[in-house]
This record gives sequence, structure tokens and C-alpha cells, in this order.
Amino acid sequence: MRVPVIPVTDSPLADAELLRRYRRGDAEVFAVLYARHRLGLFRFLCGLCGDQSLAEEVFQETWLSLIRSASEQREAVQFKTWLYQIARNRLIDHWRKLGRREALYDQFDERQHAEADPAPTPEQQLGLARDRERLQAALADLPAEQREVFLLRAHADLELVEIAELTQTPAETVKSRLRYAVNKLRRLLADPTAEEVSA
Amino acid sequence: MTSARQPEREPGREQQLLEHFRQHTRDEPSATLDARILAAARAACQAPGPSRWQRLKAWLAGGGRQPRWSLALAGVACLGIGLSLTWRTLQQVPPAGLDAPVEAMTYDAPAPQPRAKSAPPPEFQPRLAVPAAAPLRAEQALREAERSAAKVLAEPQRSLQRLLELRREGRAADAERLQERLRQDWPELDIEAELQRLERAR
Repeated sequence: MRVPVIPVTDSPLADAELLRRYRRGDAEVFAVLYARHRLGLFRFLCGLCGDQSLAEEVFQETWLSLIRSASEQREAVQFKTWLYQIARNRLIDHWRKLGRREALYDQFDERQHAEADPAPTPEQQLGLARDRERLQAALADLPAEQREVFLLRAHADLELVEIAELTQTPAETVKSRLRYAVNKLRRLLADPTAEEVSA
Repeated sequence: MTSARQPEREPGREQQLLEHFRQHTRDEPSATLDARILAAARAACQAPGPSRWQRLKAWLAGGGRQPRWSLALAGVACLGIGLSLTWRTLQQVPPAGLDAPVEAMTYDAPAPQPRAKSAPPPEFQPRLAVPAAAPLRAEQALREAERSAAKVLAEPQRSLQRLLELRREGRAADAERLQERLRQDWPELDIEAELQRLERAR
């Protein structure tokens, strides 16, 4: 079954309504819901764990959890937040099984990248590297908490308060983690040979 | 200079970087993975929902994480204890109207006697005997006391009646002795009033 191409209108109400209909037996609406969130979720997982096969496994488990769960999302939580929360929890479970301990708060790293580069103007900014390996390497160089926040912002397009709720972290902490992540990524990805600035 | 401009440009930098990652990240789930997930979604939609018994079993199993059997067993144990205590209580308190031997009245006066003023009525008799099977000691003692009280209560009436007869027969000395004994045994008893009542009841 081909994944349908759908317009990117992910209002919370629409997602919740689609899920409700699916729970009541309309199998086709699930494809719409899936198409809407599959890329963002997959890219989030790939960026976070750096391992495509693990990302695929967790991705599948996340959706199957959603399918098998008889519950509907809590009213106070957006579907997207709920979906990413499931994915995050599945990934943490996998890491625990593997005995992997993600780096926690990296004080040294944040001190280094607390301030943005004193680049002059947007027009004079250096270009950013575009190849996948460099992007992934730059992400991998971030502490896990910063990487997670950045990826949730980039691929899930969640607001800071939503990220704070999802990760059970104060909003100010999320904000500073994002700032450190942006500063560091910009330094790591600075590519003097790039001609144009990504819009 | 830079610190004054930085706060203004930070949202721009952030947005620029976010867009950069969005545009240049090419990871995508495979078609096989998509198909597998969508097929699972269709199958789950078509499959009938779990029955109540299956849901209960799933709940008791605790989803494989934390079995809830202990909770269920604890509930059953509490119920059993409650029922047991209730049954014991019912057995210990014999209900009225059941087939229990009734103890006969021991009051042996020749005729029904009016009640003494200061004495409990003679019909205060134990009506039900405690089944020999399982009386409590305290309840048995109470019933013994009731029987004793019944016998005791019969006595003044009996002596009063005898005193009345002695007076009628003219046996003053015997009557006087009996009256003295009554006074000693029941100092609160108004002997003359009781004799008058007995006289009127005849």
C-alpha cells in the first residue's frame, strides 16, 4: 500500500480526530496519520541514535505500540507529542537493554558553546555543510540532551514548551540546550567552501 | 557590538540551522517498513476487540511487566475473611423464631400473680434456650443469671401469698415470723401494700 501524499496540515484536532476514527474501525485514516508523521519521526530517531537499523526497529515498535494500544491520546497532549514520547521511551528501553548510558549534562561542552560565533551579518555568514555524514557527525558530537532537543525542534517541529513537557524538563533548560546545540552545530558545520546560505 | 546584535540574530540563526537540517536530512523509512506498519494497522482494525475475559487476563498479567495476580489473590483473601467472619457472627447470634428448645417456665405459683411494685414481672423468663451446640460462655452465664433471677423473683410473691393465708387462718405467730423474714430478705418491699394487692386480686 502506497503511503498517501497528504497536505501538511497537522493541527492537533485533526490528528486526534484521525486517531479516534481509526479506533472506531476506519483503517484508511491511519494511513493519513502515518504519512503525516513518518518522516519527522524517522529522522528524529536516526539523528538521535545514529544507527539506522536501530532507528527502524524503534520506529516500527512505536507505531505498533500506537496501533495495539486501546487508549486514545490524552486530551491535554497533542498527538505528535504523544507519538514522540512513545518513540523516545522505546529508544530509552533499547539503550537500557544494551547497557548504553548516554552522556548527561556536559558542562564543558556548554561552556565552550555558550556564545554564538561573532559572525558579522547574515549575508557574510559561512555556508553550512550539507552532506549527510557531516550532518550526522555534527549531531553525534552533541550531548544527548542537546541533540534530542534540537532534533525535536527540527524534525518534529515541536515548540519549546512541548519539548519541555515531553522530556519532563523545565522550559528554560530546553531553551538553553537548544541554544548550545545551535551554536555548536553551526561551528561544526561551518563550511567555507559552501556558496549559498541555506534559507 | 556582537553581544548587542546576537540576541536579535539568534532566532534567525536557529531557524536557519533548523531549515538546513530539514532540507538536507534524507533519512526515510523503507517501503517494506511502511508496508509492514500499515498492514499491522489494517489487521488491528479488522480483528475483533478482546473479550472481557481477555482484557481481565491481560490486566492481571500486567502487560508482562508487573503481574497483578498478587492483587487479585489479596482481594479474594479479603473477601474470604469477610465472609468467614460474617458467618461466624451469624452462628453466634441465634435468630429468633428458629427451632430452638424453649425453656419451660419455672414459676410454680398456683395462680397468675399480679406484679410486685418493686419487683420485675414474673413473666421475665428466658424464652429461648441457647442451642447446646455453640453458646458463648458470657451468654450462658447471662441466661443462668436470668433463670436465677426468675426463681428469686417468684419467692417474695410466694411468701406474701403464704403470709396472707397465715393471717386468714389466724396463725398470728407464724405470720409474724414470716413477715419478719420477708422484711429481712426484701427490705425495700412494701409488705402491707403487696398483701393488700393480693387481697384485692383474689
